[in-house]
Amino acid sequence: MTDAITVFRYFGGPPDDVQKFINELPSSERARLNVKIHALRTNGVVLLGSNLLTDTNMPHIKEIVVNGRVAVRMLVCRGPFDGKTELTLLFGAAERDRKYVPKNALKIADDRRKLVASDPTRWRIKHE
Amino acid sequence: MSSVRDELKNSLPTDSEYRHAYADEILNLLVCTQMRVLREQRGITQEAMAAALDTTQTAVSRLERVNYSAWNIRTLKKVAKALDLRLRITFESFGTLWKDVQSLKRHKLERYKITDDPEFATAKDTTVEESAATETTRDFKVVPRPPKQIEMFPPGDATDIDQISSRDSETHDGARYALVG
Repeated sequence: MTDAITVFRYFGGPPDDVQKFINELPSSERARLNVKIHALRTNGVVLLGSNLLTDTNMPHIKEIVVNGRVAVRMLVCRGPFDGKTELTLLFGAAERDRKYVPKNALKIADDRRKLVASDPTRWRIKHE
Repeated sequence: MSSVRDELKNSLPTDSEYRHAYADEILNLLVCTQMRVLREQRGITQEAMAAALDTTQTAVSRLERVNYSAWNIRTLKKVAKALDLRLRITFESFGTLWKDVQSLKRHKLERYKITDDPEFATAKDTTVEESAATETTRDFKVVPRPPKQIEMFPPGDATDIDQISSRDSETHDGARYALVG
């Protein structure tokens, strides 16, 4: 079965910090995050996008929310080239007392989005 | 390229906590997404749904939210009744999880209304189908009707056209045509 969209992740060279963030999550939170990524990858963003990708205070940056022992906030952007067929995982953060940890998580994500947009072959890899 | 199915084949058997959390999350996602899809399929607003469930629009919105997991069977039974559907609950093995991941599409989540359900086609419809079948066995041949003829006329040849039909018109290139019944 072919995927509905391609999921990429930011890759600025080793360490692959987005993958490392996911790998280091407790099993339960990693499973819940993967369900959402798999659901988007398999079914696309038409039906699920509005529910699974929550707006943030930063334009173009959305978050996949996982609430568990750790409040995981995977910061992502649609595209940045084709919002219907691509999704890019930009930065893995947590939330505590309604604030991102680290505090500048949104800025990091937006800086990465701009880098990916400037040269997709250099700054992102397929997330599988 | 590895598929979601391959990923699940690798990750589910080895980690009990992972597979139970995965199954729990996909269930939440299926329930809330299908509730929204079915409500929209039937053209019911959240307000109307709230009235049927004797609750508030905010509560319906919360039920349809992906990160809400506090629903219970009693609530789901009420939702099923409001949508004129039945609720079915089964226990499943983990091997079918990837199918659930694939099923989060509108057309896979929609369900027939009782009036559209082919299982309950009316007796009248059944009679028509049966009589048609009988005619087929009698070597009834269906001959398609020939398409309506379109005759072209050079511009300005109005007399002939008026004689043939008043349903004449003008094409983009100025040629006139008339439908001949």
